[in-house]
Amino acid sequence: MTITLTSLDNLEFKVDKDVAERSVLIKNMIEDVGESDSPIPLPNVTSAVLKKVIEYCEHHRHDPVPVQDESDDPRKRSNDIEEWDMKFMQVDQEMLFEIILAANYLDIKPLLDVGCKTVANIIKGKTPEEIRKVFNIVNDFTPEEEAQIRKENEWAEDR
Amino acid sequence: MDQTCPLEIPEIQRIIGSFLDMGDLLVCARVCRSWHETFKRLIWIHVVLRMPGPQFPSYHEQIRAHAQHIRSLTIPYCPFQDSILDEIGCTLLETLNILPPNDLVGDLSKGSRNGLRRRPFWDSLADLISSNKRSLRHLKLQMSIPIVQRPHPTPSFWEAALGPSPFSLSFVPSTLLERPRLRTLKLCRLVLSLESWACIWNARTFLETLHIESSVIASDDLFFNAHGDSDSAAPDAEETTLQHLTLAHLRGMTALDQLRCIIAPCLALKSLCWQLHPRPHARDREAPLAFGIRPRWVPQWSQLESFYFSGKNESFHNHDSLFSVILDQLPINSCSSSSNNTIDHINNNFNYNNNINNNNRISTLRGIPRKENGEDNSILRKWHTPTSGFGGKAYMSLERHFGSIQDLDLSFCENVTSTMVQEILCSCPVLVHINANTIHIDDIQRATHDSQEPRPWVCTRLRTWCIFIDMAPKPSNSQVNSSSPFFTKTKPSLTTRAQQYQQEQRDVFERLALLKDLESLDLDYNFPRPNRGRTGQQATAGPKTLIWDLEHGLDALKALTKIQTIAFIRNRADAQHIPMASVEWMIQHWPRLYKVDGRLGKQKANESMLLRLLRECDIETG
Repeated sequence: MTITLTSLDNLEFKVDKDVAERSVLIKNMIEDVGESDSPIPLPNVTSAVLKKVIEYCEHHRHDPVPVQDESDDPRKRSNDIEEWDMKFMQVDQEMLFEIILAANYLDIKPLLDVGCKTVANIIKGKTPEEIRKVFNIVNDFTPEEEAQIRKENEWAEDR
Repeated sequence: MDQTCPLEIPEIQRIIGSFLDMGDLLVCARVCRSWHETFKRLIWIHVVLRMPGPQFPSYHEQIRAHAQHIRSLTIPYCPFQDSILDEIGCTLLETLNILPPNDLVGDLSKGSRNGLRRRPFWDSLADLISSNKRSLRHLKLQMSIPIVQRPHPTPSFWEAALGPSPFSLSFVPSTLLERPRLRTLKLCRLVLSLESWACIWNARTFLETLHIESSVIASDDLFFNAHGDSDSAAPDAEETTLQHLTLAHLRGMTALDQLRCIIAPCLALKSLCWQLHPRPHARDREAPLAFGIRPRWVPQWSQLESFYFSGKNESFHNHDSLFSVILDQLPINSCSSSSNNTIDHINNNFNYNNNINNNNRISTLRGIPRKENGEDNSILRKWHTPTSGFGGKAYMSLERHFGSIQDLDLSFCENVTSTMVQEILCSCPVLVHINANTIHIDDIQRATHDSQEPRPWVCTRLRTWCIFIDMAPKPSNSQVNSSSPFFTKTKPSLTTRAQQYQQEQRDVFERLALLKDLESLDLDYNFPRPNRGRTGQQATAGPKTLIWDLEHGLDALKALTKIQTIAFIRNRADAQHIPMASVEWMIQHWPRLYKVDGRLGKQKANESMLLRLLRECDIETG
């Protein structure tokens, strides 16, 4: 059975049901609406991003569904991204952010994790100033605040 | 499209933070205000309590200020603590670890504040646990050697942590109480008195994981006989939630008592890891493990997926019967299975020798019930019994589980024959890891050239191979198929023997080449050394390793593109010679190879060139 998804810019994408259901949001929508041919609107996602998301879901359509873990996860690794996923994520920063937002909105946990791992790998080893530069973040601390924070956490840098 | 940057959304910041280590989290907390809010919480999730150096006087105040963010707290033990624990103010802890005292973390009893307000450690800890009762899930207590010199948790501590034991006056049946939320309990190097043990044992009604290691349970004949009476041992009526049980190197209880009183009553077990202490209990000889196979004491597990056992202090004969009984008792659950199709698919595509009849259909695999849709299937996934008496009886009981077994360790089990190993490889379709003794070329040849039914290795998902392949023939005996041209009794000439040997080598390589998911190939671990057991039948001459060169068919292995590590014979005296061409071939055809272990030749001089070549290609060498 195929599902039709409509992007923000009104482009239609036909996907198989099991591919579309990698998104928990879409899965729940389908369950609520029942058997219907009408397309599912996704006003928060542009066609370029939706195309990438569908590509990911199609490649991973046979993966087991991730189990919800109620407890706080212990530190997780970010160096275990599969080859295909790594190539998939070789996009410019804007697209990377849009994929993350789309994965968050559509509730596709594995894609969200891969996107966040990619960002984590960008952050690793950088100084605060370098991070601000890469992500265009404004430093809204006063110098006193910055010094204060530095001091508060000094003990942890020992480890 | 929403213009929000995902890096401003706290939930996404948290997910990113979960992949960063402490150093990066500290950096992230300094980037901007919104990041600081989120990352500061992540920084304080895991805390190790210790005496700060003089340059961080406000460390304990910091902890108190962030107490609500702390989810996991690690505390070093000390006999008295100086009010730090009492004042810490955490109420949302999920994990609590008590470690042995450690020079790095300092001594909490030498606090700088009120020396007068000292309390015994266990009392303060009991209070801390009580304040966190709703959230605490994992508790780990670890003392150091020697065991008896350190004071151990008092019974009142156990009551606070796990609820009163059935022997205590304040005991209330758990059905009337709100169930404690603790899920995991790990104890290492403790001395457990009877009352303490009673509390812990009672906790099996709500714990999921219980792990007891290198500890002493002060057992008492009377207590345990009442507990699991020899004549009326119905399994405990109380519902147990325990799913994962580890008993490692327990002292103070015979092996039989451990089985009867602790292990067997846990009916809901999914995984068991049981390591007997190397020094047997004084009464082990009177009550050997063999008694455990009496019907009324046999564990009736219905959900066991993983079994690990190691223990050398019992006679091997006992092991074989015990394993056999346990395996027989594991039920086969009904579920539909599609691995049947996998086996057919493998058989249809297996064609590795043009001389053999191409129509390789095999009607049944010995020992596995034919699985139609909806028919029964075992759930046993992992079976590790290294250096044990696993033998013929247990093997026959294991056959029912061939369809489900994924992880098998039968290394250094003297009674495991090469024929058994060959059968396993031919019958277990979902096998992922195997560690077994030795497989002889004779058994491989028989499966290949048997005129009726050539039988491939069906374990095509195998990732780890740890079996020694012995190319020396076994002594000729009645099992040999005398009609096959390769087992002629007349002495073959030198050329035919050489050809025969080449062919045998190729056969092995071609078989290995079918294991396309293989990541780790260890040809040494189970190498039969004089002080270790060998497989059931001894070879005529010494063991003979696979010749690792292209003339003998190494090229077939280029199909193993996922190989990451390989181990050759590690003992210099028995080492095989690996020619340079083979090493170059490996580098060229195995892109993921990162480690080559073992000796590459008998002479150090020859070897050093090969090692250099490997290191230049970023491959670790052993």
